[in-house]
Amino acid sequence: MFLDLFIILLFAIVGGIGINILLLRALRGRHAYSVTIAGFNGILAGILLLHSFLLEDASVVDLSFAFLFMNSYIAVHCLVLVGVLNDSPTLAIVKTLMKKEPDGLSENELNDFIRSHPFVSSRLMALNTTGDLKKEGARYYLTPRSKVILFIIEIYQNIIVRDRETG
Amino acid sequence: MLTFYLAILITLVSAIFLDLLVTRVSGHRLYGYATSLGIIFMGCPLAVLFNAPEYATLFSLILALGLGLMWWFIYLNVVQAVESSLRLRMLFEVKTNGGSLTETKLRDTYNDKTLITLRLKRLEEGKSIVKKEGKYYLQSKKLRKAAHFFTVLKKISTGRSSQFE
Repeated sequence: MFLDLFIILLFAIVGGIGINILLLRALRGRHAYSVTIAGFNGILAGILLLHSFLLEDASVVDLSFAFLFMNSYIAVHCLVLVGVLNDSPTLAIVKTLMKKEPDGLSENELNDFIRSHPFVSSRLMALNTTGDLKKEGARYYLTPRSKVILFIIEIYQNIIVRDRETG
Repeated sequence: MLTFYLAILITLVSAIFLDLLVTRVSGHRLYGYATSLGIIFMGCPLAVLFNAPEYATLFSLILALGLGLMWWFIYLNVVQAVESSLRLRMLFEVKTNGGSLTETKLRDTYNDKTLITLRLKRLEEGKSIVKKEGKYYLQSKKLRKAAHFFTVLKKISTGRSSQFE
């Protein structure tokens, strides 16, 4: 059972990565997460159907493990995508410093960099889009969902006794 | 099969518990991460061997370890986001001000100039960059490799090298 599952999952993940890359390039990163979830699950379903057709029917237990494993992989893949699709301020600084070698980055060039990399605006827009912040007029408001998330995070921060960074 | 799943789940819960305990006692987040990763590496295969021996084959141990490592990675990312995510910090800023805040006040604390200046200061303090005669230079090989890695991934995935292109 586990040997079959190992082979099925290996093919599904490798095949899924290839198709995911092609789709993301075609869509230039738009709908990245829904494409990833649908794509990998679709490939797994296809391979499991082929396996049932050619070899033997998969049991409910096999299917549940396969989909659990695949969706765990999808979560990992999406987390990596977050880092790939959204520029980290630190890595953006590093890339700019690398481009300016060997002359170095001057203060004027740093100001140009800041103007061309609106990190805060893009994060605020993302918070609005995901429904974590609501904008009414000139004010931002927390939503019920974000209040719950922050409450849970505060419990975690109290457990590990860490101060929150600002800025 | 239930014993198989339970074995992995117990290992995960133990890893998280020890991560939080070690972090709290030592004051270092990295020690907690290292402890939890070690528990997953050793614990998942051993948990299956002892709690679900009827499923203990080479491939079941590989899959159990794979599942454990993936869930550890998910936990790590959630925890890291909690600790350093800009979006979460902005949400906390709004919360600290009674649940609502004007855009002007939010941007007083969170604006691109402050963000980048703070990042540059931390990079200088960590000796990853150096400022000489008014110009900034990269020193860290690790950050150079990380930047290359993510740029390649981004180009492969989206055809662009920056979110702002």
